[in-house]
Amino acid sequence: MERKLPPGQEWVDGLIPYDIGSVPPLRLEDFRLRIDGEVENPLQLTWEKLLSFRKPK
Amino acid sequence: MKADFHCVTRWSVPDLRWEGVLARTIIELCRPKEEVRWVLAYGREGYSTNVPYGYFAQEDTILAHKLNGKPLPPENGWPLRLVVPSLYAWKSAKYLVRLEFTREKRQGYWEERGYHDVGDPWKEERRWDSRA
Repeated sequence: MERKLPPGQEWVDGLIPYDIGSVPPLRLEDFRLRIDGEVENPLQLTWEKLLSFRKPK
Repeated sequence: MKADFHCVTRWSVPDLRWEGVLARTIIELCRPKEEVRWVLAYGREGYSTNVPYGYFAQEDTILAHKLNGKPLPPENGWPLRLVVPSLYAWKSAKYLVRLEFTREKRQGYWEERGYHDVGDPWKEERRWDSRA
């Protein structure tokens, strides 16, 4: 089967990273993912908590 | 989750294998209000991008911490990256540290600089100010 390529695109072998600036260092024990805004249950997830979620198939 | 990845600079990478937490799991946990239409994703380096809620909620949207079986490489967003395969890659914010659910549209880094609020590669939604 021919792979589907969106219009105006071409295939390459790997990701080509772009950044808007320098990325500050981070220790995983300091990592937090903040989930907020218009939600019933705002969250701050640690790295450990993130890894504990059931793996998608 | 396996998906092709399309960049607005016209390259696409086939069959990337991402592992992490599905956006749907996040939605179940935080329970966005009914009026939510947008998700703003923020990176720790100061990046931001706005993603339409309907695309964020697709079944293949993932908060990825592994790529092809290994921890995310630094240049691909370590330790966590939003991956929205249904949109151009600039919507897949690297170094993810915050997801903000909003009713009103607020534009992110590239959207303020002329890139599309939706960014669907199948509709070639590259910029909002031209089709180029």
